[in-house]
Amino acid sequence: MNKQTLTSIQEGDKTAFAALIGRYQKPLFAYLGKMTLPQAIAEEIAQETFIRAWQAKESFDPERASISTWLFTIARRLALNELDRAARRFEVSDTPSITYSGAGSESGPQHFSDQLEDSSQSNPQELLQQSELKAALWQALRKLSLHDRSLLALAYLNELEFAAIAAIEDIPIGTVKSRLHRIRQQLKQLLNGETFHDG
Amino acid sequence: MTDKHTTPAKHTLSEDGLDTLLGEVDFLEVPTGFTSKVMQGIDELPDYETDRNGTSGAGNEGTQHNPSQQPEWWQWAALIGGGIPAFLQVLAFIFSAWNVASLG
Repeated sequence: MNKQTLTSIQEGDKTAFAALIGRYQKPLFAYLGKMTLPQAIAEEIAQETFIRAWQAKESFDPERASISTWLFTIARRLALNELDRAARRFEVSDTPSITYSGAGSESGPQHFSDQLEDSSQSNPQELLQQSELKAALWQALRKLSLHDRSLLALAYLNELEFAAIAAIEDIPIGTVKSRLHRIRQQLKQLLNGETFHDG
Repeated sequence: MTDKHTTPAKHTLSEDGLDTLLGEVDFLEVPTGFTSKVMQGIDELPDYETDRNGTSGAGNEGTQHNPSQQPEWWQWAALIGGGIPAFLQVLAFIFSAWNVASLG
């Protein structure tokens, strides 16, 4: 996103803003997906993120943060609020795992077999393995705390530097690295079916 | 809850395997027409820019009220016009209180 486009957006150019949405929608959905949000909720949050960005476009200072940092900060706050609200709604006080009812559960593991990519190019055994792995990852991510999930999701976007992640999470870069190491170990243990001790 | 049954470990993941998995897996897809849906949402927003231009021209972040709006001249005039008589009234009260006390 160049400076000219950014200036156009800040002056109210909606075409330029549509280009920004086109640029960031995929990483945003990737982030919300790894936050284990269902499709419908993620869509609402993504939409709200861009609308809030549009509303606050004049206050954005490119000297202080990049557009991606700014967008993901908004999205993170909305996602955490939503997951926190959902946790309270379903009275899941201790475990970070959130269960959505109704349409929300459509993104759950049971549907991963329907979402397999390039089904024509892989053999059924590989597809099954891929589906199982995806379902296992989904379950494992849901066992992480909300903040850990967010950090991990940001780290695997391939969009953001450690400094940007630190700015979004509002923690020092060193903490990002150490927490990420710990979360990866937890996730690996969960996926390998080893006993998982929090903390 | 579903947390009770952990998925059996059919695959032993290495560090690299985990990185690949986390890097490649996407749980959600961008819905068709998402950009136009957002733009439609933006078009349906209250026309705050018109409101803003109609007032003092100070910045206003979306629909939020901005407390840093500059006061108009007549607000200063009202403040001074009301403040001076109020101050004089306080002085008159103090003087009369002192007057009564000094007279015994």
